[in-house]
Amino acid sequence: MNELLVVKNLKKYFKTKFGLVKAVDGITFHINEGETFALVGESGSGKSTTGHMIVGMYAPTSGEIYYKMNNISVHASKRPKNITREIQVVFQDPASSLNPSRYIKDIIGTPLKVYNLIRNSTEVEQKVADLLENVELPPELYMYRKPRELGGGELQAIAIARALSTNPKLIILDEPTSALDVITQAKIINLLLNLQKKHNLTYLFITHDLAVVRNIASRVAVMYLGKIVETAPTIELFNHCRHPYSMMLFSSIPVISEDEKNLKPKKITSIGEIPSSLSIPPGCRFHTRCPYAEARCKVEEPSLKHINSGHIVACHLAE
Amino acid sequence: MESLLRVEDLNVRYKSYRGELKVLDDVSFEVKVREKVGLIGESGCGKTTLLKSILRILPPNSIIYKGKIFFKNIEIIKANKNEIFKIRRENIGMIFQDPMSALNPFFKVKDQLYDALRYSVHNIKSQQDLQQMIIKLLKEVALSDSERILESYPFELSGGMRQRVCIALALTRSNDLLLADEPTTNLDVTIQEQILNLLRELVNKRGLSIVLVSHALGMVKEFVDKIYVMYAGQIVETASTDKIFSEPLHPYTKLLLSAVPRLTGRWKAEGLIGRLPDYVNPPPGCRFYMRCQQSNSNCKIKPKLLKLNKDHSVACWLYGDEEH
Repeated sequence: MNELLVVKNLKKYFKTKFGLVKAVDGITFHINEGETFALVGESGSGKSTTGHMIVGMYAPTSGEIYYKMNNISVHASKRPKNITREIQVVFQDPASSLNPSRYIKDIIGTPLKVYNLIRNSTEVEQKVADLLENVELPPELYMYRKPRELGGGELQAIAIARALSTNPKLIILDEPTSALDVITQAKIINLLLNLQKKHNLTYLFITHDLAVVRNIASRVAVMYLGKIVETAPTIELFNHCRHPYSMMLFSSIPVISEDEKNLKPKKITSIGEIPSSLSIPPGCRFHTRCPYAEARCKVEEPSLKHINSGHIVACHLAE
Repeated sequence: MESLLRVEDLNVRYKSYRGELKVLDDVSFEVKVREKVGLIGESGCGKTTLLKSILRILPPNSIIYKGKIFFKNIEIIKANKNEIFKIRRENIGMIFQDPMSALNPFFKVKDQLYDALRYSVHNIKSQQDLQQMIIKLLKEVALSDSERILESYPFELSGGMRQRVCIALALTRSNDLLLADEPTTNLDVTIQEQILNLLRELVNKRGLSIVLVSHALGMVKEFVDKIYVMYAGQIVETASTDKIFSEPLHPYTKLLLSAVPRLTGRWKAEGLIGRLPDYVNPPPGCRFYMRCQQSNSNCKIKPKLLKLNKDHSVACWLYGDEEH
C-alpha cells in the first residue's frame, strides 16, 4: 500500500515559565492511503499535539513529516497551498470550533473562497448545498442557521462538511465523538465511514475510546507521555497486546456483554495518573504506574522491538 | 426495602421566548435505601432537570408544573426554605457534570471545602477540628498529597483530581443520597475506572443510595442495581440492570444498546434518524413514535408505564396493550 503520510522522530517541545514541556518526544509512524489510523492514549499523552503538527498549526521542534514524499515539517503558512488543501481537521468540541454567530453557509463557504474553489457567489450556495447533502443534512433547513441554534451531532456534521469542502485526502479527526452521546456518536461514526468509502479518504483518528477504535481503525498506535509505546494492526493489538499500558487501557474499558468481557486482557487495575510532561520519569516513562516494573525499567529507556509484522512495542518485558 | 426518594408524576417546564418547553412529562422515579439507581438517555432528554428538581436548584425560568417529590416523607416541592436548606446541607449531595465549572476558580480548594463543612456539620469545635475533617475527607477520596491540594486553585489540578474534590464536596453533605450527574464524562478511561471504584467503595462504606446519570452504558452496567431509561422527558422503561441488558423491551432501549460500540467488532450502528422532539410542541402520546421503527396508530395516545413483572416496567403499546 501507498504511504500517504510518514512521520519520523517527530518532537514538539513547548517553552513555558515552569520549564520545558516535552509534549511529543520522538515518534515515528506512517499512515497508508485509504486507511484509518488511530492514535490512542490518555489526555496529556501528546496525541492532539501530533495531530496539530500534521495539520500545520505549529512547526515541529525537530523531526520530519512527509506527505506524499514532500517534506512538510513547517508551519502551514509555509506549505504549498495544494498540500494544505489536502490535509484538513475536525476538532473535538464542535460548539467551540464553529463561530456561533456566523451562518452555516459562511462557515462552510470560507475554505472554498480561501482556496479559490469557486468563481462567484451563486456557486458558493450550490457548493455548500452539495456539501450539506453529503453529510446528510437537508440544505434548505441548515444553510441560513447559526451554530448556536443546533445540537452537538448536527454541529459535528457541519464541522465535517467544512473539512470536506476543500476535497481533502487526509482528515485529522481529533476526538470527533467524545463530546457526543452514544446515539449521536453512532450516527457521526457511520457518516464518517460512508464518506471515507465515497471519497477514498484517509483518517488519522485521535481518541481515547478504544471500543470505537476496535470497530473502525485498521492500525493503532498507543501513546504515553509523548512516546508511542505500541503500534499494531487493530485485531492483533486487541488480541495480543504486549505493553502493560495498553493492557491497562484495555482492561479499563467498560463493556456491556459477556462476550466482550472475555476479550479483555487479564485485569490490570488502573493506578495513579499520567505524570506531568514537565518532569518525565527517567527510564521507561510508564514505570511509575506499571505493575510489572523491574529495576532496569527505572533507568533504561526501552527501545522499540518488532514482535511480528507491523507489531512494534517499547517494553523491556516483551521478549 | 424502604423507599428513600419518590418522585410522582413530575412535570417540569421551562419558560422561553418561543413558549413553554414541556421537558419532564409525568416522570415517576423511586430510590430505595442503599439502592444504586442508573438514569440513562441521550443528551437533552431531561436527566439533569430531574436531578436538579430533586434538590430544587432548577434555573429561575423553570416551572414545576405538576407532581410530587417525597424525600423521607418530606414533600420537597412544598417544603419551606429552611427544610430544603436542611436537606441540601445534611441529606443529599450532588456531583455536577463538569468538575471544572462546579468549582469556583477564584477560591482555593481549602476554602471551598471549609465553607461546605461549616454549613453542613454542626459540632465543629475549633479550626483544628475542621482541618482534621478536611484531611480525612481528602483521604477518603484517595487524594494523598492533601497539603498541596488544599492550597491549590482548581485550575492547578488535573481533571481526575478535580472530580475527586467535587466528590469530597458532595460527601460533606450527603448522609443519605448522592446524585451523580455524569461524574466521569470528561475523564480518560483509566481515570474513569478509578473514580467509579472510589464511588462504589464510598457508597458501600457509608451506606448511601446513589443516582448515577450517564450515557456511558458500560459504566452504568457495572455500577447500578436498577436502571431508568429516559427519552425526551418521559421514562420509557425501567428494570433491574441485568434485565435491561439481557432483554430490553422498549424500541428506544434496544436502539440505545445497539449504538454502543462493542469490543467484539462488527458494530453496525445506524444511529437514529431525526432528533429529539421540540419541547414546545411535543407530540401527543409517545414522544418516541416519530423515530420509532415499530410505531403504529396507537402510539399517538400516551402509553402508561406498564408493570410487566416485579422489576420490569415499560411504556410502549407493543406490550400488554389489552390492559391500557
